[in-house]
Amino acid sequence: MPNRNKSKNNYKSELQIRHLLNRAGFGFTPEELAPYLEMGYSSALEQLTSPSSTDNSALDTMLAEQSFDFTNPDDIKRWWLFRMMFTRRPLEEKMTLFWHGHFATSDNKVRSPYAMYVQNCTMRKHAFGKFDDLLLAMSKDPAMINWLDNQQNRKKKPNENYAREVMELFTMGIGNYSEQDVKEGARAFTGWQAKPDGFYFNSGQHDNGSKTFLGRTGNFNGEDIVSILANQKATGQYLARKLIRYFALYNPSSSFVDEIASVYKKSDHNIGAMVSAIFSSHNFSSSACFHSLIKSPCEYVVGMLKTFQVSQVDAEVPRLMASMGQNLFNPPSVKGWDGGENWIASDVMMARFNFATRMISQKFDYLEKYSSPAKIAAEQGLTSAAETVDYFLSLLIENDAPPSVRERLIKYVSSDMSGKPMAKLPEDKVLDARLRGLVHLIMTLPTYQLT
Amino acid sequence: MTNPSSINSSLNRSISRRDFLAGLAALGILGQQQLEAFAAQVDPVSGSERSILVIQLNGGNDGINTIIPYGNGAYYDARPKIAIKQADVLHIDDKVGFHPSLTAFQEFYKQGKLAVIQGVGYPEPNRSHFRSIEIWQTAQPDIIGDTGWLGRYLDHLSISQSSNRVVKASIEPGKEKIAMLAVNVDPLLPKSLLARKVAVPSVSDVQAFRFKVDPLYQADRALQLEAFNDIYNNFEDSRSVVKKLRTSGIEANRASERLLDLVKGHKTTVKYPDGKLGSSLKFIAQMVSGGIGAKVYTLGYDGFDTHAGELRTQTNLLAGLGKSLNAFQEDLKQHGCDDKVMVLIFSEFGRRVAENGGGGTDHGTAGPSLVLGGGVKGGLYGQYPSLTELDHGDLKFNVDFRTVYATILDRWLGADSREVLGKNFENLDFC
Repeated sequence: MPNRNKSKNNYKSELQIRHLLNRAGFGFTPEELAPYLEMGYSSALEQLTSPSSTDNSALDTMLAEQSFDFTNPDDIKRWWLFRMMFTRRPLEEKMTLFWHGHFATSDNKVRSPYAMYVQNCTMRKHAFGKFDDLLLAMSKDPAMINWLDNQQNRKKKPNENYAREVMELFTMGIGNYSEQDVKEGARAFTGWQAKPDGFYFNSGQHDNGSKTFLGRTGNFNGEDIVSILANQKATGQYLARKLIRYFALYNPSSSFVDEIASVYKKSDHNIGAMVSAIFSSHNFSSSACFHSLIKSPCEYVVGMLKTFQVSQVDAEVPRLMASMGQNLFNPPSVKGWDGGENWIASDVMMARFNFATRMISQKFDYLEKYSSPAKIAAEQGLTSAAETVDYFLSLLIENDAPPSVRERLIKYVSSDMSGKPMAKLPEDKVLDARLRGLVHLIMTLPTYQLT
Repeated sequence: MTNPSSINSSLNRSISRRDFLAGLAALGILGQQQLEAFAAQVDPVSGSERSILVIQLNGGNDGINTIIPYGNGAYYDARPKIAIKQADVLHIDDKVGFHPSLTAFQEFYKQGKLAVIQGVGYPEPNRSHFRSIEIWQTAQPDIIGDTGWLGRYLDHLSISQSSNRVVKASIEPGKEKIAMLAVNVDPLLPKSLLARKVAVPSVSDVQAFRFKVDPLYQADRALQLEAFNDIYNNFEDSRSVVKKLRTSGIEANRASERLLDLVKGHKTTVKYPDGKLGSSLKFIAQMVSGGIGAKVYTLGYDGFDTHAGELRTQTNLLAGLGKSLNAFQEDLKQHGCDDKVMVLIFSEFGRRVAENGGGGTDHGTAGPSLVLGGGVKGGLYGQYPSLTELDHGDLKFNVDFRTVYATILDRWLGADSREVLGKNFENLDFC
């Protein structure tokens, strides 16, 4: 709907809902936005943060029709992108992506798309539940065991890789344990192996002796380590900070972090409660939070596909996302993706700009439902250069640009093929080129990279 | 008349050579001829043409199986499964030698172009990949730094360049070179290049790195680019994240045009090995010989975190490293540039002396750094750490990595290492 008739108050509340939808998902089609605008912010928040109470059977049907081959490395990526595009539970997919970056495991080493698919499903299953359950499930996950060499972690010659990373990256963070804790932790996880059909506890390889870990002594095994780690104050702080940086602000105040860390404790380690608290916080609805995060390649790509209602995900899309720095199922290291400004080194900026080109070029015109720039302009009845520029600036960046941008874009749109200014909109082919160019230019703006 | 070489030996390193020479000339102490002779002696390759390439071996390369102490029985005792057989080691001397994959390095060593610096590390070693690499990249073991050592070098360079009034008189209008101080040939910018003033472009695939428009409306490209540049140049916004996006976008565009021009003109007969390392080095050779004027290139080579299956993995990785650098040196030589680039190869830590239960090794501490190419005085530096007197199972370092940096900054790049590193570090003699 064109926004020119909205009152200022309505526009402000629309912005808040758009902000929420952008952070709780990957963008939205016009049809998806409408019901949220209807129900208002608090109901929208309620619905988004209770994914299990939203029916997602339409997605399941759609996925079944696509018949993905989960042993194929390209298919698992396309499967997940389909989910992100068509799910009615956007926050569930966003959390799964968070966990994928947190318990970062790469198929580059695991070399089993099926195991990666299973890990992904496990993450989704425990996405909003008790953190201890997820941590235990990850410690027994075959892809993870393979990734961090726990298969080789044996009684006589322990392998420290998992014990180190579980403390450094998955729970407390650096500075909260000693090298001795790493060694003792490794002993507790000996014999935790993976077989083709799942987790296998190899008791013959398990070190049954007494261990001293983080100041406690006992004959600990992996389950005990998981429990000890999940109950550390540092873990609550670490997770709180990471979740806030993912959903809200890059540099949260220590009071905001403390607030969410205390939810971790009070809710008995419930992730869903922490996420709800972040979205309900005044820190989230402040104007400093709006458009303050840089879109990850996933948000950038999926958001764009949704805006223009592209209904298929060809194999190129995950590859292009990888060239922007986010290769699904292949994070660069066990640290996952640092995010933020790490998304915008020069050549990945160019990769983003060129993905936008791909989106608006005539390549997709034949697709059903695809809304080309010209189609949108016709549907909206836009007849002047100013109207056209205003509409797309609102649609794509919520008008977040200095006035000079609007001026320059109007000048671009109302020029003929040689660049000479025209009094009215150009026609036919020239208009088509201008509209595609306009949308492309807006999508290369610094503020289009923000969410 | 004073002898230039005696001035050389008493050269005060806290003044840059350029300023010093300019000062001498101004005082009329040396005539023009002597000045030129002096400059030639001190800088056989013109100072402005020197650059460094920093290659980071990601994961913690096992230094003990790279520079192998084959003359030491303790080596074989600690690694019954994964020690390299004596007969396979490529000798450096009667105590140490190269991994068998590094035939090219043995050749460089014999030519006097390769310096092997043993036992490099820092106090209170950190065995986390991420913290340790951050320490190497920021050169700040005691705090969490927010700039890189190379970034700080580039910041100082950009200040001195803009205040340096020496201008090349022969630049034709329209042919001014867009100065690119550094290029990162990897998708992600390493922290070593984080600077306060200079934005370094990251380019890993130069062909994809071009502003594209709808293929059916190619004629529109010029108009779109013009609009893009106008918009970005005038995008007033006080948010720091927007400023960074703006800089990145502008830099992306400028760098793209410059680099595409450059790559078009380059010819080589050298064949590089397949894979990312080979193609990245080829691209760097293009930029060096194309005269892009960058002082710093950075590159990462992944895969060295050998907790299991070390023998096979490291053999393949080191073979790739040797072959690719061999091609790189050959390519530079063909274009008369092999004495202009100094290559520093390092890893965030070495690995444990004893092997683990999976045919691999766990995170360790000290390891060797290698320096190759322009200006290098080949040989062994530092000391091979003891394999028996250890720090919790790990090697003790004897060369602080910052002395390696200081040597390169002071002696190769003509910079002031104290400004970049925050305090004085000794220089080694490898250049």
